Amino acid sequence: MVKRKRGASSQAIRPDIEKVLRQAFPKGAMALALDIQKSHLADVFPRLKTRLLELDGAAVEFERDPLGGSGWAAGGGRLPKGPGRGERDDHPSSYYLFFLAATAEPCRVGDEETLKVGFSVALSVMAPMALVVLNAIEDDEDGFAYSVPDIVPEGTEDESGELVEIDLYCRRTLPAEGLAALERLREEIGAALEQFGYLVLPEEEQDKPVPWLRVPAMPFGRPRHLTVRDALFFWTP
Amino acid sequence: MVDLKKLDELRDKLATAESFGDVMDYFLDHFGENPEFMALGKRVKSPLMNAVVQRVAEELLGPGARVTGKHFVLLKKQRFIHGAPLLDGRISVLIFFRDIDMGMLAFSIGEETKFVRFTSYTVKGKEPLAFSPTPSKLIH
Repeated sequence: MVKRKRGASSQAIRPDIEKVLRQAFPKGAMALALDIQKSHLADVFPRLKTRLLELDGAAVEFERDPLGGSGWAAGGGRLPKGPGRGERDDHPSSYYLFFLAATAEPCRVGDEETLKVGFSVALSVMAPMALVVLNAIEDDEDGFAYSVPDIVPEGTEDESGELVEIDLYCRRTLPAEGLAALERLREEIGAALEQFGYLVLPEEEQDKPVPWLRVPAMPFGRPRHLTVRDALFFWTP
Repeated sequence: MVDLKKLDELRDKLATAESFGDVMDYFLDHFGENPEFMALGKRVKSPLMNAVVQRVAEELLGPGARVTGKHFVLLKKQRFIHGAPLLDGRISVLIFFRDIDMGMLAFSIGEETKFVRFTSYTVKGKEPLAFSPTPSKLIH
């Protein structure tokens, strides 16, 4: 087994991201109480949402606000209608979440009535940082059960019944044009977010530790590795 | 290694057991307390299960009983769903087999454990599923 060398440079956070984190947590401590109204998100949200709704090749199918209220797009395909807007069904979180289904023809996988691939787009309340994650929403058997997208993809079952990661499933199932269309959509989402001051957190930065960031009032002490992603995207009790 | 074939036995027990406690014990012994099993499946929401849990909560705890944590885990191939919603803050265990449209919910009030076995059925061709609780049992 080959061990990866994890030198200091590989763990150093990219300077622009480090700067955003320092601005978000000037006292070096996590703020678990969310002040949404004072966030960058509150300033840009209506225009940003409109921009996402207008993206070609995508449809906003689901959204969840940081207070836990969530809903599916009106008439959102054949997926069952989820909890109504205003219902606080989930814990509050530090981010607003959209799921944008890819609507281009070559992005359609198998039975589109039950599975739609696209991207979870999470907008942090803590700082103008975003996650864009390949994901899918799935409807099982006439609305008996349906998956709810978040920032960690759940995977889907392949024909043999094995759970496979969404990106692997797409690579196995979609034609090259479909994969290219997904990549274009990812870039367009990133560009749209950038227009409103949001920076998409690159995958290679997400798990880097933020050693100077403290978590106040943790009952069992500080977690061993508080990562960039932990600092910006979390659920609150 | 989780033996998913034991779900067949669980299904049989659920459909035929006189003692509801035995059914839930079987689930907990072979699946519910097994981290490997708990890592299987896909997290989902289920309108039918939401309706079942809400109805049970209101019947047993009174109108306005609050149900939270309505997240379930679906094993699609096995057509089995389970979860642990909170009924007025009390943790419960729910299991349901889609192929026989039958399930069970267990939760504790003080030192009592209550079990509810229920069956769902389609009212009309394309109407949403409804459910009908079978007689509940109280075990001290």
